[in-house]
Amino acid sequence: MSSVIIEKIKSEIANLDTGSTTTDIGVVTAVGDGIAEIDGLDKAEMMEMVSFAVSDEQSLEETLKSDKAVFGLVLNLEEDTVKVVILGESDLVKEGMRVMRTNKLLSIPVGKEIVGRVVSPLGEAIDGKGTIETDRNMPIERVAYGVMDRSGVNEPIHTGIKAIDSMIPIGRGQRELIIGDRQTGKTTIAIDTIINQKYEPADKRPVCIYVAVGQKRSKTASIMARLEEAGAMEYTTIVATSASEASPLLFLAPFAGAAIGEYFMEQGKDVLVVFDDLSKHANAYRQMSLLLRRPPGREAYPGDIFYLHSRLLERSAKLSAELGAGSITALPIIETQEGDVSAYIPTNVISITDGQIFLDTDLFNKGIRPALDVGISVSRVGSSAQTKAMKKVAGKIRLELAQFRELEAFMQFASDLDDDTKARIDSGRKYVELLKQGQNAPVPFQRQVVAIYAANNGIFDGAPVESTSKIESEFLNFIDRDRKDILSTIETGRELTDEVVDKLNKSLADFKEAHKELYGA
Amino acid sequence: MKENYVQALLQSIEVGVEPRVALQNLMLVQEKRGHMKLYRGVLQSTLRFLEGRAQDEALVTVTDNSQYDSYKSEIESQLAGMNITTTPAVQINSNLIGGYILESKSQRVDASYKQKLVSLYQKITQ
Repeated sequence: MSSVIIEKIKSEIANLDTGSTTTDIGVVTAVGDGIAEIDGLDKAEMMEMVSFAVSDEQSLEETLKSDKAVFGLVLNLEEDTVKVVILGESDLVKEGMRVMRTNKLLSIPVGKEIVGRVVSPLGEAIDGKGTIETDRNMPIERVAYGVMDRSGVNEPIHTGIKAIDSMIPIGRGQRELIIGDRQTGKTTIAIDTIINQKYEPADKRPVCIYVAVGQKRSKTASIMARLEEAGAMEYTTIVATSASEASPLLFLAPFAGAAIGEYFMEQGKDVLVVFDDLSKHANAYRQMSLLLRRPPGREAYPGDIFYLHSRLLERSAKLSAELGAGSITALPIIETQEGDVSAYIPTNVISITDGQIFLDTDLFNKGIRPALDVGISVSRVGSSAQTKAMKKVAGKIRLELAQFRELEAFMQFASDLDDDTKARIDSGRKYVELLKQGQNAPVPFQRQVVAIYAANNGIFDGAPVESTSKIESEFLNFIDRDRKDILSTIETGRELTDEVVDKLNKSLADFKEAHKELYGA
Repeated sequence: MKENYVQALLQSIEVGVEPRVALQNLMLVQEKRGHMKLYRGVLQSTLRFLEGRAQDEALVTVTDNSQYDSYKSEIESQLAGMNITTTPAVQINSNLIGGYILESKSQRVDASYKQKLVSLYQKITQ
């Protein structure tokens, strides 16, 4: 071992460049609130990294021991000065300090080694599992792929949530917004989607990236624990910034997540990126812009707040076959106040994304969880992102729920309803019960197809509404135990062939015969 | 408008008005016109302009005067490359260990032993 080290030292000494290094420099004229104003740096570029010469006054030993290199990011190029946000300990930056250009745009180290780790937006490991050694950097800011480099979204990404996979299907390469008030289950939907990817075959399983923007550290830690428990951390990377970190790091976090995703997308892989949440991202950008003295606009947000999110979300794409057919699917999350989806930031992001999943507080409080408001949730990709099997069974559920919603208000006033109306209401209630699902319990798509098919073909007929959940679980256990070939056929073929339909119909009849007690007989 | 104030201030100083008096006059004019918000910016721009005239100043940092003598010809060649004709100021900093650092207004040439040792250490420990 020591001879290896000695050889390495000898080799580095032999190759040591003894020439001088010339860099462009500037001088700090003012520093405060994480922003440094610098005189000089005439040739600095936008989003360039600069390095503060904090080690000038330190001895060699102190410099080697210290890991406190302080970098900054150029964000304002003004007539005589350059304004830089400090990425690191701003206490170390002093007026009169020299600042050097690095001639590099901000980038993040990427590689397969980053999967399974928790990193900061600058690529530093923060999970205590050692440094991450990679050999490639991806730029944090990057122009999105053009139209001709993309192909259509036609492959589903299954969330494991019945209501979403059946009525608001998401495709690989789509941007689907998750929007709702606080504590309505937005993060749960995102985490369940990540966990559900473990049911995908390894070669089709997307790499998952969860970007925590300004979240409580306890929340990020609990999410990581949940993912580890479910075995999902093997294919997930977490980019974490806590609420106590400086606004520039919160601003960079989603872009870092997108950069990591682009690395895998360019290798032909599918990627799922969750941005939790972009409301905090907008707030951090507003704070940073006000400190940079950029003119405030509506609600004190800077004028380019729309561009902030549009350029982030446009980096999600489904690439053409020539470029490897990789994809990035984005699930941005926005928190509304009092259900107001017409506020500034929510309307911005709604107009950017390819659909939204709206979570309602009233539904949540009524016990309907996930609290999806199916009426106003939409996926603009639609059934192009569904398997043939799901497409076949999902049509009826959407219609039933739409009719139920119309009748729900009517039935509060009508005293005497006809039999047909009563039947529709009963059916609607059972579909609502069917779509309820526990937290962290995603359902593989083949089981969803079987459950919805059974509901469409009268498995709940004659049973009270309260028994819906029990009947569903008993039926799926029955299929698991005695008709496992049905599930495997749907899983591999992804469609409901006539043969499978016949088997399902027979299974339904057999189940009802064997479980009469569930129907009150 | 700021540029006009800067030019007026510089002209009055060049003509021979005492800087303190020139600044007082500036403040009176700006106060009368309601342009006090520009006062700080005018002062900053004026200072930068005056510093810009000193573009050809340079600073050399060495560990001791003997180091400066041994690198004098190299330093002079670097200064020529930067179009600086004046003699640089010399600063002593033993943290450099050896070699020199030459700084002008906009560039820094680092030929110190410290920078090379830090770079060597980082390459070995990568």
